Amino acid sequence: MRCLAAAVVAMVMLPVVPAGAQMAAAGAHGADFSGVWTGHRLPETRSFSGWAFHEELPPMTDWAMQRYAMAKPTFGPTSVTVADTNDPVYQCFPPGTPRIYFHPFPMEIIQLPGRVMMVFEYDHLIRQIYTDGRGHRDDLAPGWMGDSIGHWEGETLVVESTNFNDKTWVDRRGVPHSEQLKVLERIHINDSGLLQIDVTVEDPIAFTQPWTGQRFYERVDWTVEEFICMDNVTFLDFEQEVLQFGE
Amino acid sequence: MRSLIKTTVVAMSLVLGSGAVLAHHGASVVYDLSQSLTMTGSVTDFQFVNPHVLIFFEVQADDGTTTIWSAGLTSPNRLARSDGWSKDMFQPGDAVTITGSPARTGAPSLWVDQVFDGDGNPLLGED
Repeated sequence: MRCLAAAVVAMVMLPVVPAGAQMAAAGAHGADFSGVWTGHRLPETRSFSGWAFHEELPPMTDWAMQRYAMAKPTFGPTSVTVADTNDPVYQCFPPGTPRIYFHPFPMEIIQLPGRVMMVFEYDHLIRQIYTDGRGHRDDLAPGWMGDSIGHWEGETLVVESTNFNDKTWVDRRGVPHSEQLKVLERIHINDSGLLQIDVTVEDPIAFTQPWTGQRFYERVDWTVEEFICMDNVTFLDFEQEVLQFGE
Repeated sequence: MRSLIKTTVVAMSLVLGSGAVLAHHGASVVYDLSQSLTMTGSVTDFQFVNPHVLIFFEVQADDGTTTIWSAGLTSPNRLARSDGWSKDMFQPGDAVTITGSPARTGAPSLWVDQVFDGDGNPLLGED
């Protein structure tokens, strides 16, 4: 925990925000999402919400269907073993956005002037959502988690993420996307006290039309602990021993 | 060998009720989630590690022969938060009874549904 706090302090101190943007950052946030949140699965979605937004597949183009057919996920109706999967996450690449929401580990939301940070326990990934009025970066190559900017509409944080590479899946069952992926999120605390994230996925290469999904989080009094993806290798060895028994 | 070991097979519904079972990636490929087995033995090793906690325990058959069984379950972070587990949860020699899904290959391994201590107290809550 102390390391995490130190890292956050270090990031705050870095002069990454242009002077003009710092001025705009003085505005207050529309709501307080600060704290640790863990995924909340609605009872009626438990059969699939661990690995997909919906039980049905999203409206994929032929381009996406061909890639989906080649995917070997470890979840969903076409799941295979960890040893046989080609899920990029098992090579310890970041899951991307919005797939990060499917990994069953908490996240901490930290609100700083002009910025909302999501600190994920899973592999210590961080999303930085700038709310200081800046636009998207145009100087970077496509990345894993996307480039996120946001603004407040009342108590709802509206986030637009772009500039993704095409190496991640949208969910844990292998639905692909292209570099034209755009993820729109509307995040608010609903009447049940849950953090509700309404997601709209757009990608004209992968999907015939935009589609939506939801994720929910509940507030917990936990601390974000360590979870390092490379530790998965130890389990792969264990699983292989079980699978190869008697050979 | 397995026929010599006391086993208990219970209904699939009991197994599927557990979040711990469903948490593992590809568990249904490695383990037969339609079956449940209960094994009792003494702990030989306890690994409170990511991504999955592993318990190794020695089971003695009626003829006196012994087999080391393994049992896998969810992550240490989740067990610590939901059930108060820690790295010192088990010591070598501790009595343990574990109910879980058996490996499809017949390997002495379970995907855990419930863990009981030596007094028969369940150590996992419902997810």
